[in-house]
Amino acid sequence: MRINRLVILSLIYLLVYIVLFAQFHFDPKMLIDFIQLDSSLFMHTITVQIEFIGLQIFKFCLINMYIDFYIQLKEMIDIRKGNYRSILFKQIMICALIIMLPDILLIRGISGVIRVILNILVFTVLYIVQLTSKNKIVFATSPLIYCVLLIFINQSTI
Amino acid sequence: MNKVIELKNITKAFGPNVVLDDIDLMISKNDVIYIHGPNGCGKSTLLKIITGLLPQDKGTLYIEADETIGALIENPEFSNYSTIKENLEFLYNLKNKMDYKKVEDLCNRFELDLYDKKNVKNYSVGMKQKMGIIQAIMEDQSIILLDEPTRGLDDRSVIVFQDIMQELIKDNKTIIIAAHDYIDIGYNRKIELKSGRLYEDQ
Ligand SMILES: Nc1ncnc2c1ncn2[C@@H]1O[C@H](COP(=O)(O)OP(=O)(O)OP(=O)(O)O)[C@@H](O)[C@H]1O
Ligand SMILES: [Mg+2]
Repeated sequence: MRINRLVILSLIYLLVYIVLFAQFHFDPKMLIDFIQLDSSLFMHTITVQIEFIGLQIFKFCLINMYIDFYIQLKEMIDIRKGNYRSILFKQIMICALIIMLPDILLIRGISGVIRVILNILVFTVLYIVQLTSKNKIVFATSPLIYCVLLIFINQSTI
Repeated sequence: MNKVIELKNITKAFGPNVVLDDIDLMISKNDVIYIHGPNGCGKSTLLKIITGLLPQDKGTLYIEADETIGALIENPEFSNYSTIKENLEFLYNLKNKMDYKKVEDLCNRFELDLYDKKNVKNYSVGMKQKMGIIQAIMEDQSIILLDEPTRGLDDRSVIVFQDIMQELIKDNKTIIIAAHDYIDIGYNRKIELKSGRLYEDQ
């Protein structure tokens, strides 16, 4: 595992949440509400909407930066009869867990657990679809599809 | 004779373009083979099939079970936004624990610095080519396949390459090199690939 890169990735991610937190005047309640936004998102200001969608796109970009390493080395892994798929899957799972850490830390009750599990599941599936698809449109829209599904998940687990 | 690789009736076509046409090839331990032929004759395709990067359309490929393959095929692709050490370390550690001393030594012979902080993206073509050669031999692989290994190497590095190959031959490795420029390393077989068929020089 490439610990250094993971730490850098996590720190960048943490920074985003600190900025968000500061923006909400360090009120944890408001941060939680933001992370768990549902369709009421569209009643918020355009800034909040952009921030929410931006955060979801950012999650994909951040993982792409990390996973790229393994994708570029695919051929060399294959020559060594390494199991490329399982290496990739393991790394994606680690990244997904880091990305979902804020959500995991904010779990409230059973519905919270269900929310996080659904969230990780949808995120991983969409990420893998995005990764394996050679189609540029799929690549570009999967963070947005994730965003829409996330709103659904939040809506139905409140 | 100790058979390590055997290709039987291997056929490979890309659409109507039959690149390998019913090829048979037996490779013994310690063979040092030079494969040559014009551009597009299928040298890289043949090496890709042996490494398993490309499936053949027909025929069988046998590789002795306890042999390990090291290969440099066409343009070696590394992770661009990482250092040489991160790249080699990851590849080495897939199956073994990295021997830093040994890899550092190999790098030094090719005038590369294993602990270079630069990303591989900023390496020259020749430097990447050297990394490609290093990764193909660093794990003490027993079969070594190299596709135009000296492409982009300066004169000094070609001599280093020749020296290293000679050491590997002494170490009883099996070596297959596909190239245009013939550089003598002590081949015991020369094979020409032409119109999808192999012709062994006698
Ligand atoms: N993925 C592919 N799809 C379609 N055709 C391919 C593919 N890979 C190779 N070919 C074709 O197969 C033929 C052999 O290609 P190959 O790269 O094996 O040649 P080569 O002998 O290595 O040539 P060179 O000396 O230029 O490296 C060429 O005609 C090439 O166009
Ligand atoms: Mg070639």
